[in-house]
Amino acid sequence: MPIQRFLFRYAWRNLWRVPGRTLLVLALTGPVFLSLLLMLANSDALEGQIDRLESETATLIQLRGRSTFGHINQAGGLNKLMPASIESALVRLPHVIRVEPYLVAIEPIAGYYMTLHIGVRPGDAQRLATHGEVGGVDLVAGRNFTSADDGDDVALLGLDYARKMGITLDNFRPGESMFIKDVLRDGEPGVIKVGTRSIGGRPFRIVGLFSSGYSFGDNQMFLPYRTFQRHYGAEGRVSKFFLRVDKAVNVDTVTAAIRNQFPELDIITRADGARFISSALGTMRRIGRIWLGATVLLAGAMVLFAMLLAADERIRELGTLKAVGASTPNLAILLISESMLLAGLGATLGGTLYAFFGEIIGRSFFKATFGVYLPGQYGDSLLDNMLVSYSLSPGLVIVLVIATTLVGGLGSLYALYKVHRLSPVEALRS
Amino acid sequence: MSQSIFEMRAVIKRYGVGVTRIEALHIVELDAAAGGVMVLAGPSGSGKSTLLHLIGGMDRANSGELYVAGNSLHSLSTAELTVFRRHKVGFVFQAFNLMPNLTALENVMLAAEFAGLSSKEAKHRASALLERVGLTKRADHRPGQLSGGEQQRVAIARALVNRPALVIADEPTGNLDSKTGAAIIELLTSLKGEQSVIIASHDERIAAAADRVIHLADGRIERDEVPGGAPQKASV
Ligand SMILES: Nc1ncnc2c1ncn2[C@@H]1O[C@H](COP(=O)(O)OP(=O)(O)OP(=O)(O)O)[C@@H](O)[C@H]1O
Ligand SMILES: [Mg+2]
Repeated sequence: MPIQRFLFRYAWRNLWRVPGRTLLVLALTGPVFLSLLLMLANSDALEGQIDRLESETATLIQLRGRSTFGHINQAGGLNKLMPASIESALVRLPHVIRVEPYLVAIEPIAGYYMTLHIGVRPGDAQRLATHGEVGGVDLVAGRNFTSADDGDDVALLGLDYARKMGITLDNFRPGESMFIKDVLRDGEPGVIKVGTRSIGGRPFRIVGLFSSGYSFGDNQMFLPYRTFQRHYGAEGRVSKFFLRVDKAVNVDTVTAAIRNQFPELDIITRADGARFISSALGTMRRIGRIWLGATVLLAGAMVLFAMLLAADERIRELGTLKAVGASTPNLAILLISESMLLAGLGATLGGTLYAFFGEIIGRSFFKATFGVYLPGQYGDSLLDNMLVSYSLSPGLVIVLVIATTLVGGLGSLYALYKVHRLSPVEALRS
Repeated sequence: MSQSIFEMRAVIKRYGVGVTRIEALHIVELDAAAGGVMVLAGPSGSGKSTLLHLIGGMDRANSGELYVAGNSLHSLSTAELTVFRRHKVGFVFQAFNLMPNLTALENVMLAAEFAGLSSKEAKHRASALLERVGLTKRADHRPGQLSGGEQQRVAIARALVNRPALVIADEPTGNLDSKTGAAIIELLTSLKGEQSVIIASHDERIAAAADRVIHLADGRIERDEVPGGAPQKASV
């Protein structure tokens, strides 16, 4: 259609009549489109993370002694815990592909703080005593346990726990020693200190620091499994077992088998973990969606404003066009083209910025958006954990095209209303 | 009786509502032979533009019958009026009303493209018309680079590009000096025969070149004269 082509060329020229205004609109919409892409990349990765966590919790079963939290130093003592010997029976259950024994002690320290000391096998996930179902913690300094560490006096320390002893990410040196007072054996809660002086215990070397994102999680400490057993005299007892089932559909079968063989155990499955995930990460999912809508509305409003000015100051011209034979659809094509071009240029600018600086801006953007809703350092550690791709994929280009269409369509609404009502005579007299 | 380009009966156009309502035009009967030059004369506010807008299909009368180039305008829809404007009339304005960011050639082509001509045909016709108005060398200039007289010649080329039966010009020399105006008058009156031309103007020289001059006063026909012939009494 020649007229469409002609109108499109004309629209392009109209765009540059007031170049300052067009450039201003681009300077404003470009970053808005950029934020759209960043939000998509981040929420895409976040969705992946949610899926991962969900599938992780979906196939995980936690076992504890009946009505206990599994602390080795709780009232009733070690007898209330599960015997370590049942591990071999658990391993043999059909569909069970991994069994991780877990030991935990609760340790009051000076100032009425509670800390948790946890024993895990090197190679198993460092699951917090709280929310352990979602997987292991993220190391932020130092190294993880190796199989050579099992039985050695080494520890991984939460950031908050470390801070209370004067250790920060800045001054931490791997291998630094600390002394743990053993409440079980030594009776009174003690002050745990870092230094060379032994306070009723043996020195432990801190090989790594971890972050969980919340204060209680960061007041926990991991020891290698055998080290823990020896230190607390907990040989032969297990606080918890974490069982990995091959498929989510087999969880009920496995649960039934355990209930049958070990009726004295508490069995905890997905529900609790799922609740945590759906509340914390589900919020972010919603934020992402709201952001997408807000982006389109914001960019649309900017384009709308520019088009509003353009239509008002060109009303005589539009009237003349009608007088010389332009139909309302002709003028609609002209104005929609202008609005689309404006939106498209903004999207191109945003896309270009994204292609070059997406990686750099993306991280701070994550902190400024999702990060706000995440406790503490979780914003950083979660992002580090996620595989975020900041490349301008074909999918994102399609999103830009759709967004351009929406923004352009929205942006031309006022102008379209104007030309629809426009009488050529009125316009010519004005 | 020769074929007429337009005929109107009992046409009334009012503006405003309530106490501000005025009857801007009231034509009991008027028709014009095809191929002539008709001039609308009369003081400011007498209804010249109003009448041109009705004949050109740019506005609607409140009542009455109006036939232009074979179309009964009073019964056309808005979309049909657009089609009528495209093909049957060419409009020339006092302030030229060219699109400032299109070249002279594109301004002329534009009207042809609205009428559905191919770009090639539109360009061909537009170039020929620019040649006819003596602006071949200025085809690629924007209106801002042209003088008032040149702009009005581009506007006339635009009015002619769809080969309309009727060319309507509202004060075409109003923004031009007298020498430039004379050339525009000559150009418009030269269309006679091929096209019917209606011009609203205070310019005495246009009246002298016309086949017929309608004097309007307060929206009514005061006098209907044929220069060189005997003045006819207006039918009231
Ligand atoms: N949109 C309008 N609303 C109200 N009154 C109008 C409108 N358009 C025209 N009029 C009135 O209608 C009458 C005729 O106006 P018109 O423009 O046709 O006069 P004209 O003869 O063309 O005058 P001029 O020589 O000044 O161009 C005038 O009284 C004018 O004020
Ligand atoms: Mg007038």
